[in-house]
Amino acid sequence: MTTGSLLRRRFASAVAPLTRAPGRPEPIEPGTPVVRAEGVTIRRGGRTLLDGVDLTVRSGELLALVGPNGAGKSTLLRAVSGDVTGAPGKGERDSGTVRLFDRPLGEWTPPELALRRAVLPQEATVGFPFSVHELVGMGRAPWTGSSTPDQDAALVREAMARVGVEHLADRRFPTLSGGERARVMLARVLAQDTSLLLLDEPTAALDIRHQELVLGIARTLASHGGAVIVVLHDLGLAAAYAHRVAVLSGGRVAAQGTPADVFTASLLSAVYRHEVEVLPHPRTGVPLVVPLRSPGCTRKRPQE
Amino acid sequence: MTALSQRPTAGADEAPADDGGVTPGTLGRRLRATVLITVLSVGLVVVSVIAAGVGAYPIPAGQVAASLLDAAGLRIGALPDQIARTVLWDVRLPRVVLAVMVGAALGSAGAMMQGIFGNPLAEPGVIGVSSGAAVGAIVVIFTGLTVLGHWTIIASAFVFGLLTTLFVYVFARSGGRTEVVTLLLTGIAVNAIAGAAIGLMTNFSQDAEIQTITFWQLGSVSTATWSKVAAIAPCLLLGLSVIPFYARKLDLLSLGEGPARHLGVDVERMRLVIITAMALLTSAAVAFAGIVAFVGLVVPHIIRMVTGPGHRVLLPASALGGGLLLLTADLLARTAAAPAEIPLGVVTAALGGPFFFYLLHRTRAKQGGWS
Repeated sequence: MTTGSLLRRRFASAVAPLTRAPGRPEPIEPGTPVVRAEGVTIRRGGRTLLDGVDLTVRSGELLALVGPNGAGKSTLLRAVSGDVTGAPGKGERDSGTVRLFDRPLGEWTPPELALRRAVLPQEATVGFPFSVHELVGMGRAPWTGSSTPDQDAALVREAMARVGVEHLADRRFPTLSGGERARVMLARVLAQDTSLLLLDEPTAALDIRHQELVLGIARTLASHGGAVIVVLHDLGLAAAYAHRVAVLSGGRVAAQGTPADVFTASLLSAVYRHEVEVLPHPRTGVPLVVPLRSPGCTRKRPQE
Repeated sequence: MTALSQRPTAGADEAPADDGGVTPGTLGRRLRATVLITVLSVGLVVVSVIAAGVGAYPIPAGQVAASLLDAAGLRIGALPDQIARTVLWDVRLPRVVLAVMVGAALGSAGAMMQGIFGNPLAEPGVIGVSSGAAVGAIVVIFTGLTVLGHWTIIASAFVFGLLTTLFVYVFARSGGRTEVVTLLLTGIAVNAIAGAAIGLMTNFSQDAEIQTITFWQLGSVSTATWSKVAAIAPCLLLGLSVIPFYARKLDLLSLGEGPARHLGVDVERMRLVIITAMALLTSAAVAFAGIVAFVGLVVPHIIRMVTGPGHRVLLPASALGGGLLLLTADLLARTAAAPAEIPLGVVTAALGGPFFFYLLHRTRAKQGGWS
């Protein structure tokens, strides 16, 4: 973890016996399962969104959820964050279990969970024109009473610095561009300082530099003992940054494992219903996924 | 951003000084919040003293202040004579206090409603909660029920106000969000139904009842008494007591219900508490002053322009600002055409209507309107 949060942890553990701090997160051993979903099945309106999904994410791991549109990536993320909306229709029943930190999801209270896992939703909307600084500060709300204002301020500043939005601190959210909004929301999630991060397409609105920046941050958090689940569309990013990937297709896990094992031309072509080629990067060996394009698209243009 | 909170331009070389995490922006905002709350509090006291002196029987402000301090056990300056004292304590002061309380209730209820709907256009009058509560009040007048004394009207207004709020909330929301258009159209429909109910009861009422009912529809604090003040006070205090517990959580709710829950907010419980507090505040105001529109819209908007949308400042400042606005409006209502009196609701609507146009214009110019 970062210096700031390390200091905070040390301070917190020193005063822990003195303060009323129910349900504070305990340190987690690297490699312990943080998320364990078993047989998760969700049906809505006659459609099976998830069909018996098993998924385990351990601390120290960045897991990428990939798959075509409508494969159930976001639904799975919502199942893990406890946000599946709507009730099952007639004759439909959700089944399966989700355990976070070895306790069933339903047994956690919202305040307890907020100290342990942060969620970045796909779309960022804010009802009132809060400033960037205020919005990122909202990430510290769960810690009210168990961290000092100075610690909060330091973590907020650090989170803004990591995603490069410090210079926007006093701007109002509605005046920001799409990419800036996405980064501000990520900063809010980082300021929450949790050991589990659930990110739904954090790179969708970002340019190449910021895509790399964001996944770099996620990877760093994971290698320092956090656990990260990230929904991605860009298979190249998934291959480069994820420790493991889970390929979803039609509400099922079609394959999971390291990018090198899972990203094969035959599997991806079948799942995406489009021919793709997978080539190792000439220098790093990281798999590159290239969709096959009709000759018209790739033909060399006449020199001018 | 405005002049007070300017900071070095984006990407400038000068690094922010290490001042314990307080950027110039937050400092400016905190300073402004303090200034705003102070100005509103002082303004409220000053205008109260002036308003208590103005009327058909004028009392100098100095004497009003002396009489107030005398009641608090401090003997400073010349006291008013016996008649003036009676006018002051039996007529003017109850009216001043009632106006402030009704304004505070409406201002804070408006701010809470906008927070819980996540929508800056929600207002008890606009979305029909005031009309709903008025129906409750008028049912009591019409049927002559007095089961609970002074409290009968409040209780009935509260039940109707709460039901209307819940109805609008459930009806205008879908997928965790409230669209502006749906909200306003729901308000039109609710106001139409309430208008029909009120019209029907007016039609079958005796002259005396009709006068009381008209009073409710136009809004007024002219019949203020200390017992009414005593009846509204606990409602106001109870309604305002949620502020310290939920102001921060309302900030989080502006991120949406899901994100608020992820930040540890028990959204369901908060919704229940805030809606109840809001209905209590609105109904108490409506029960004693009738439908006084736009206070809950105008006041929070102005305060957001000054200090930003944070609810920890917005809610108390809206209560103070609402009190100040209504007190001033009432002063205007009883002095502008003296000795005749203009209904209070007419004054606030005359002020609030143009403000609504201004908001509409500003929003259209900025983002092409509400959608």
